[in-house]
Amino acid sequence: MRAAADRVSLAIEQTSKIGPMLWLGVWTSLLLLPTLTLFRFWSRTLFRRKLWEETKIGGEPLEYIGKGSELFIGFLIATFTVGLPVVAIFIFAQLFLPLPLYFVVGAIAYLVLIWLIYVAYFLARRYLMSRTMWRGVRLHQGGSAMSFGLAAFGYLLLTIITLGWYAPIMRLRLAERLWGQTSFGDLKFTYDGSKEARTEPVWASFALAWFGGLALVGVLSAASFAIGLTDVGAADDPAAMLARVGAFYGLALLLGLAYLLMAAWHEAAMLRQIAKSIRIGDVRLGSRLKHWDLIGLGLTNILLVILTLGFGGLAALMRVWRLIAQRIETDGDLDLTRVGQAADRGPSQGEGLADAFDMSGGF
Amino acid sequence: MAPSAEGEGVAAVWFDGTSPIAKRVTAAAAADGLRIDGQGASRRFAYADLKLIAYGRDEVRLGLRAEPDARLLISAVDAAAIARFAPRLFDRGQARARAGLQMAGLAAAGCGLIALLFIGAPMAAPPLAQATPRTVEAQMGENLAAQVNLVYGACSGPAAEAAAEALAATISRLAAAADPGFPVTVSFVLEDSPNALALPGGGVIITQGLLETLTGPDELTAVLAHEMGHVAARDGMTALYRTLGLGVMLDVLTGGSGIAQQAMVAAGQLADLSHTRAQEARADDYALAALAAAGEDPAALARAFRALQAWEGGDDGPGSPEASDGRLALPEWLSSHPDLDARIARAEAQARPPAAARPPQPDWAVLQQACADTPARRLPPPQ
Repeated sequence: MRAAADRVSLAIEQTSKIGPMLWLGVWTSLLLLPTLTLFRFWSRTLFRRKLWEETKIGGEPLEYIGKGSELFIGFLIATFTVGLPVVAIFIFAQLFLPLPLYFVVGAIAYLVLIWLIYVAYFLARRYLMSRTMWRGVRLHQGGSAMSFGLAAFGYLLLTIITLGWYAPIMRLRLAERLWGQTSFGDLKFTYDGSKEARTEPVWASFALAWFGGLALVGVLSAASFAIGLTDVGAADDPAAMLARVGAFYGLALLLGLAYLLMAAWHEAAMLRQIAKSIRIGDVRLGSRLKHWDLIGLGLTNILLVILTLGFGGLAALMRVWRLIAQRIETDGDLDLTRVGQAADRGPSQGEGLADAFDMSGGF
Repeated sequence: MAPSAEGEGVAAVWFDGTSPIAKRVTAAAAADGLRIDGQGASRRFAYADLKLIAYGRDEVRLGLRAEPDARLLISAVDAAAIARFAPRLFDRGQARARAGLQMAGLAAAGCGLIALLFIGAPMAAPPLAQATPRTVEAQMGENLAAQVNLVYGACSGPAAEAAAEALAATISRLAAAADPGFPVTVSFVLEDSPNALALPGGGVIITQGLLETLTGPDELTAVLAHEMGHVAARDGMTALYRTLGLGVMLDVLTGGSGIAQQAMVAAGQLADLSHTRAQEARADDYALAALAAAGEDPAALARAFRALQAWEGGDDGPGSPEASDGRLALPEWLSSHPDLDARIARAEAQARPPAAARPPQPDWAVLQQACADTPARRLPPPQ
């Protein structure tokens, strides 16, 4: 049933199923081998196309209009303009510069790399937005990739200085920067980043994750000492060493799952906080995602990926998208007469730099 | 009801690409094109202007070539009915065939790249090495030596200097007999396994383990001659180009993706090893010729190999009873140092008696004490 009305609800309906996504994961993964992984640009495109067309907003599906060739060309450009020069600089430094200078060059390159990662993230989002269409109108991400990268770099420094306590603010600030410049056609989203709007238990949940994480790291380190992993060269018996390494990884997995439980509260709170800060037109977004939703998702996804020997990766990503989409709440209708097409068609090729850093978040 | 006659319309939805408002239109198919009418929209499209975006179970999406954002949505049932007017437009098979061709093209490109990497890179490495100016190679060698010493703990102090000094005469004799092309310098590192490494530019690194495994100075001379063979052939530079080139290209191509890269690396390793074997055989030949010409004992090369073989099968080596639990014997083509038996047989068969009288040998006691002044490291070096 399709309404030809001027005001539409933005209720989301996500109908992807595991089976077809699993199959997509299998055959696209297999094709990576003969193509030396070059096929990954097309497999990512196919995944997005399928995921988008199975996501309906107000009864009308999203459409992904990107092409594998765009991603491929973006990759080529990024490789020749950034990738190879960086590699050349590293090799040159390693082979020709005296040791202290080599470390200096390495340190500078590392800092530049961090900045580039955030730049790549922005570029990835900008490409994705420009290739996402709803009702014939494209989304658009405005703003500058370079300044986003610089801002993120600054926030990251603050996060390091505060031993991580700035992290929630960093995430919210970056979300504000991105969403505040995102538009549907020529209608801008707005992001309410004010303190009054921060109604989710961001700090309490972060404290749990932070202290909990610290405690787990402590447990892991103590256990490593106890198992004897730090006695390097003590016994050369490979069987015993293997047992110790196995015990370490087993413990790390258990503690990782424990961390999943502790961090889920914070993650859910952050997702809800970001969602409820976003508005478009007269529509307010929100999320009824609960932390046990995330815990269940995380555990089942881990099982899915392990049991399918990695081929279930796409299906796992779909489940993340599906869960978040299905938990989004919308309040109000969108007045379509206020929306015109986005003037800027976005980048002509894909987010090559983002591919180099794998910054599309899997999607 | 699906129309059967030309000109009758079916219900469709039209997004004109300038506004998100949907227009309910009637789409009428005729032999020369598609017409849509309704809610202010009245357009005519030739079938060549249209393209198939998606053919779903319930709905078909058509797009306009000239207006990439516009969309026409028709129910699948109705689309089937009007498909007879434009069979090519609604042909899903064609789209699939095109996709198949694209994938085949990519696979071909991938195979070409594989050939380029695993055949081309190793082939390009030796000429690149030969073309590299010697001063450049010398500079690279110095830098690499600094890094190796950082990682593996160079032996220093009077004992190390004395050992290097003890070898000086032997080195100049060998260099005079068979020009290695670079000034050869020897240094020692604290490393338990017996090994010798020829860096680009003429630096030769000898491990303490080698000094403990070999049984006499003549064997060390033979090993030195072998390493000088690598220096003369610029094998270090070749290996650098080959592994750097292969490694960098693989990293760049695969963008750090996991599964495929592991497979590529494994395959790359195999290609790498067979190359090293040819280089080793050539270095053996160089050593035998240089030893004979310098008046040293060529048979010492085979003796050195036997000593190494004894280490591998002995109490300290990888073949030792304690270490051999669960350790499989590697087939020859997987091991980077080919079966020592083969090299011993070859060395013994090819050794000729020395040309001149035996020159004085370096003091073995001094050599074995090369690392005496260097304190042992607490942690073993990274594997």
